[in-house]
Amino acid sequence: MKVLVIDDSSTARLFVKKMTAMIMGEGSVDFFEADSGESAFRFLREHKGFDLIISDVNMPEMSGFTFMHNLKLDKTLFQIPVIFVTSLSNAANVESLEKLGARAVLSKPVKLQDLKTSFENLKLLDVASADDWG
Amino acid sequence: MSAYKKIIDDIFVQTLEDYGFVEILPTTEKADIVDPIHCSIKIMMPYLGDLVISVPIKMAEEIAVATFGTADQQIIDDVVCELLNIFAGKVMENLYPDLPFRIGLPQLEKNCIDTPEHYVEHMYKDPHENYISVLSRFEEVE
Repeated sequence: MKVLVIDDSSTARLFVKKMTAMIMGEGSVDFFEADSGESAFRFLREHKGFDLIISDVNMPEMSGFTFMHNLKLDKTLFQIPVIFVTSLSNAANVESLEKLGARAVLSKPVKLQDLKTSFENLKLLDVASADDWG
Repeated sequence: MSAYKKIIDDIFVQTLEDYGFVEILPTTEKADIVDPIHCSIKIMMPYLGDLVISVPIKMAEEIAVATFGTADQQIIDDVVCELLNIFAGKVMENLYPDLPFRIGLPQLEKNCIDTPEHYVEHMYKDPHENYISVLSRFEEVE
């Protein structure tokens, strides 16, 4: 399973990767990282086959809002599910992100159970298990 | 204690516990922060404001080691920035639950701000007598 983690904070990326690995199982996820929406978008255009994007919203260059908007307009990328992990998670911002196509919006610091529930809703735990069996 | 101050205090205490596993309590004592790391963030929407935190480097180091297994300076700085980012989001979520809001990016500062008289000061301390300060300023609340 290939996951792109986008956050301008290196510790936030580390935190999300740790939790994802705990849920999916060590070694079952190939992590890639980007520190802004802009660099993530460039990376996604050059590297295909991602199963999931976990992104911050409040970032330099390109915010999560713009990133999500642009992703949905791209015919080769629009199907990749996006989970936002953000400090901008009041009802109004969550609604805006969901309208743009976010599959889940979780508050920072993200809780293990919330992330796991999001993976279950996206049926991603099955993908990780299938990858484990080759 | 004003309702505003209580909101900020409750949120900061909870944020530090959730993010850094550090227990602190609000205090009215005046104390210097030992070897502080200063970090600020701007509130940009729906109202203008800013928040500044000063955290002793020792405490930031302990959070970095406990959470990420390293006391690398870049990780320590990032811990303080992320702490403020999360705290600012929680404050805005609480003050303006139904309005879209935007905050800037956390920024490390060499010194604390020059005009603390324009801010509300909040002081906290942990069981080891380490002090942390938060300065807050909101256009609407004040």
